Amino acid sequence: MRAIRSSLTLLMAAAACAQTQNEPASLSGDVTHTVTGAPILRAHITLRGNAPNGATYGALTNAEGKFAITGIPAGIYQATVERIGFFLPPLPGNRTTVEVNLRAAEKKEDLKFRLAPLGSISGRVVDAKGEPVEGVAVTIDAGQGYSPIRDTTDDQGRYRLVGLQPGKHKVRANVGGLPTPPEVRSDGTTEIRYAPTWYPGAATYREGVRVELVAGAEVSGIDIPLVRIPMVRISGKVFDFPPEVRTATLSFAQTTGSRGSGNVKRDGTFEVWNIDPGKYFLTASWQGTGNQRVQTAPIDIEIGQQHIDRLELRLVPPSDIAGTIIYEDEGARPPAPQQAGQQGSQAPRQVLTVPQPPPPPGTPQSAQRPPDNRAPRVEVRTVDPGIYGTSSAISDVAADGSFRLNGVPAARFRVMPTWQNAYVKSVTLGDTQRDGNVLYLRNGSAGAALTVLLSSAFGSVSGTVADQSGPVNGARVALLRDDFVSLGDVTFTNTDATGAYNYQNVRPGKYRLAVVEEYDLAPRAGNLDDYEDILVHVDVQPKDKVTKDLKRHK
Amino acid sequence: MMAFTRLIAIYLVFPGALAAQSFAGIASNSVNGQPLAGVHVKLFSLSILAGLTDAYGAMSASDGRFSIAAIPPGSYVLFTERTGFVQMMTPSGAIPLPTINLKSGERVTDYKLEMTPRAVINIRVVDDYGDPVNSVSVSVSPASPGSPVAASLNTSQSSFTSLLGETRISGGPGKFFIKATPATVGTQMPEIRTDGTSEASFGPTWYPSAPAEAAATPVEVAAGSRASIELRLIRQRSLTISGIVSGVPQDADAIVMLSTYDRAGGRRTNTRSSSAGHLGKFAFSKLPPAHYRVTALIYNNRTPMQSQSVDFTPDSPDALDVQLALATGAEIGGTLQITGEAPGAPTDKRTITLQPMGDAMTPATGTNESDGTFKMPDVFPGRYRVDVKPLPDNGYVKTVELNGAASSALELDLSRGAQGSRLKITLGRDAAQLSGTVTDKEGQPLGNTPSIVILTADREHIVPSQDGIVKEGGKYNFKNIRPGKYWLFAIDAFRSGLSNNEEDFKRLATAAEEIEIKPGEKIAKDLKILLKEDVDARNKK
Repeated sequence: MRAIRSSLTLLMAAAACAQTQNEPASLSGDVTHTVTGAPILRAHITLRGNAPNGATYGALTNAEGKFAITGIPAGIYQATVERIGFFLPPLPGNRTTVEVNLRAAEKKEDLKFRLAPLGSISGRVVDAKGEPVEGVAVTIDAGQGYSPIRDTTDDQGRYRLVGLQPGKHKVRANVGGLPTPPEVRSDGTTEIRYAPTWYPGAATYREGVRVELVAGAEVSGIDIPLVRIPMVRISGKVFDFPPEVRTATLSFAQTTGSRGSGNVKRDGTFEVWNIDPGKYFLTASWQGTGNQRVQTAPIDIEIGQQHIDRLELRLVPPSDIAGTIIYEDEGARPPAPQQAGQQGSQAPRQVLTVPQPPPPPGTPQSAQRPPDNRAPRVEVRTVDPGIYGTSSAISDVAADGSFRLNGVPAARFRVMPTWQNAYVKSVTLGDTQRDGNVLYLRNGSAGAALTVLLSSAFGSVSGTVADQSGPVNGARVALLRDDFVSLGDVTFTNTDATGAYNYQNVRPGKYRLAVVEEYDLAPRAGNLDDYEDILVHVDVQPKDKVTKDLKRHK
Repeated sequence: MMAFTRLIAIYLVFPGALAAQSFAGIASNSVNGQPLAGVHVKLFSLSILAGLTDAYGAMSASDGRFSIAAIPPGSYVLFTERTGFVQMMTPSGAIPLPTINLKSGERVTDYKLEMTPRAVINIRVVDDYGDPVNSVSVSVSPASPGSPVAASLNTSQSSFTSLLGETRISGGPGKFFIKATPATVGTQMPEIRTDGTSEASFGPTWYPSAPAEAAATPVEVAAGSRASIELRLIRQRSLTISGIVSGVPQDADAIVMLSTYDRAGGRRTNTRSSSAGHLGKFAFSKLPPAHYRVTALIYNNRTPMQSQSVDFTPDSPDALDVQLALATGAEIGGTLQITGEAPGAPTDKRTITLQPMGDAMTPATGTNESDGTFKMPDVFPGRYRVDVKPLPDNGYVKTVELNGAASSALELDLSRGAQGSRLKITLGRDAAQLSGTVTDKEGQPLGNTPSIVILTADREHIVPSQDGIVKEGGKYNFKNIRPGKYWLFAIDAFRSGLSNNEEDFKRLATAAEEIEIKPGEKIAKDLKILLKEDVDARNKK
């Protein structure tokens, strides 16, 4: 009898325990205003499960700024909050979410968020006589992946940019206009063309002055007098242009992603007017036989105040390249594959030819890829923005280091191994060796063999960021190669609570290092002009551990 | 002598100046009739092949007068600018800009350019709590179709609300319906709410808060005035489609395509995609009720893959466990042969392409060997058009046989799968040619205006071809025409009254001329552009 009772007790205890294990947790907290401390109504909380099949929970705050979510299975979640007119200032570690670990039956009641108000910048766009200019697009960059904040001037030349986070913003006014040749006028008047103009009236991004905005501020009087520039053209000829082709497109693109197009006449000549000043890659393309678009080798142009004539665009046939990887040190070799039987067929195999078919409409940019346990491969990916976007070729690497890339179009490419413990130290095509990982194929390979030298002698760069009041948490640091070609040559990181930043696995070479503004897109395009007074030059030698402390703009 | 030199100089600068055309007139304020100074008047040529060329300009003086001397004859787009004003016009083409056609020797001296003070509508979009909503697309359309609109290069009168839920639409005066279309579709699973609130899914809403235009209130705004309105979004029933893609290779990411159809088995009107990543999980939520089809695919891998498709109707309940199984395509084989040549005779290399029609997503290509045989890997189920490039002189795809049975070259049906299929493609050498000049209603050859000739065997599915683009002097020229019955018409982007979409082409085609084209014919045929009036007149009969 005792035995029975005690096992019953045990059973009940086990049942109670099981019940607790399955009992859901709850989470509550509040949302307040960073400046006034007042509760924020109808802030939207989301709680997203970390598990692959985790559900997402949501709630709205009430008039007291309080929210509550019940019935949450135990687990790890990411919580965040949004409310129109407000933004969530970066959380410790520059995170945008708070990690919440909920145990079974836990009642967590102290999740507190603080939202900061968004601000605005307003002003007028005027011409040389101070008259308002209507219909001018005024923009502020909102950071990578976001469309610029934008307004169009009204008949008084007024604009107002709203929903701005605090920071130092460059305000740009662009009249736009039609890409026609200059007007023939017979009435004695003169056609006027305005440059994209930055506050307070600068024709270049560099000369523009940043407008400082604190959380929730409404800055007015940011007037922009437009700067006049001459009307200039680019012209030239596309060679190897088949007469049966009816239409061809001239494409010009900037490293920043800004792009435009023009027409190629049937005799292969082209003339395009009034492209915004700046550096561009220029190519022509048309529908070839079969279904592939044919593209000329890209050339570099810089639009300024002069015409650029007699440009020549030529077709360069795609290259078939036999390559070999040489390892400078044993540490650069690919790690042994985790699964047996996957390792190298003897002969290299071409697995993808370029150009890729265009992605279906609306295809998102490639997402984060899980670790690659497959046989080692080498990939080349174009750094010249052209009609293909990111064309690439990839090949298995055989045990003897050989690989093969077929049909690679004429452009510049970055050469990348798929394993993480090596970097490309130099690329040799035929007799020409270049340091770094960029393969110059704009004139084709002419059958030359490619040798890729891999090394594992990564360096590192670290240090702290401080201003007058001490270490800065969450400062954005840019590390930019002196031989910058494309976005792949700049890396960003943020400082931690002690103001420290740390770049590991830095390819040896010369770099510039600066603390940059959070929403500034210029460093991504290789432009650190705005930071010349604070930037630091570093020369990272193999296996070097460089320490540099940095200053931030006042 | 000096006069003679100057004359030569003028001739060199302005070819055609000896028989000079000119364009002059007076700009005025349409409200008070007063002359208007500072109007920028611009004429330029616009063609599909050359883009924007040949610009002429003038500024109106204090008496409103403007003048452009010495313009070559031709068709020009008139573009005007004046702070605070717009030019109103009755739209007649896809591009709402007036055109000026200057005949040889024509001198326009008194063009009446009426400029109308701008009307502005400030719009604030709010949710059912009255909170502003950002990134909502807001568009205005005239309450009475066909009423004058502001001439504009920007054909869509729409904008997005700011981060304060506000936007401004500026243009001509009139009475307008205002429609807000929130961008609702998500690629996350719907939230679970336990606090009594519910996640919002707003549908298209017309001012002030109506689910359809029929229940909407138009907003009237006079010239030179501004109206401020608040539009309250209404909630809609919404659909969630989620599930898992199976068979994703280790080193690839799957993409799930969500296509919207206008009706079951109808025309695809929109396609969205969502990355299902390596794990294959996908979700589309807050979908407005409609006909949908989801398909998973992998396109940037060593081997393209595609799944079966799953269809949904507006009445479908949420589907939270959709299984999409990726599979590789089939390899099909075949022969390419030219009429009159023995099978297996040496032949040039040509690229054979199966172009997706309707639901198919991925084109397939193959190149023939010298004996005419070809293999085509990675063919997925669907319907395709057979395309061969380059074609021999006067060549066309004459017949297509699928597994020994005749098929249409225009619509090869592989929707039940392609595995093991054999294609026999025969090229004819007796294609017809059709060429001529396109003129306006007065019989003048079209100048440099963007226009296109449409030659179609199917009036229901019209796809304009590059061959139809009208060139200098109104010339057009089709080669490699497969003999048969066609409909033929020419349209002009400014005057044909309709925009560049399939429904409009279908409407225009109702007034098209039917033409029978025989093998080997070389037809010369001049065409007049087809106008909206022609379609209306025909439909009245």
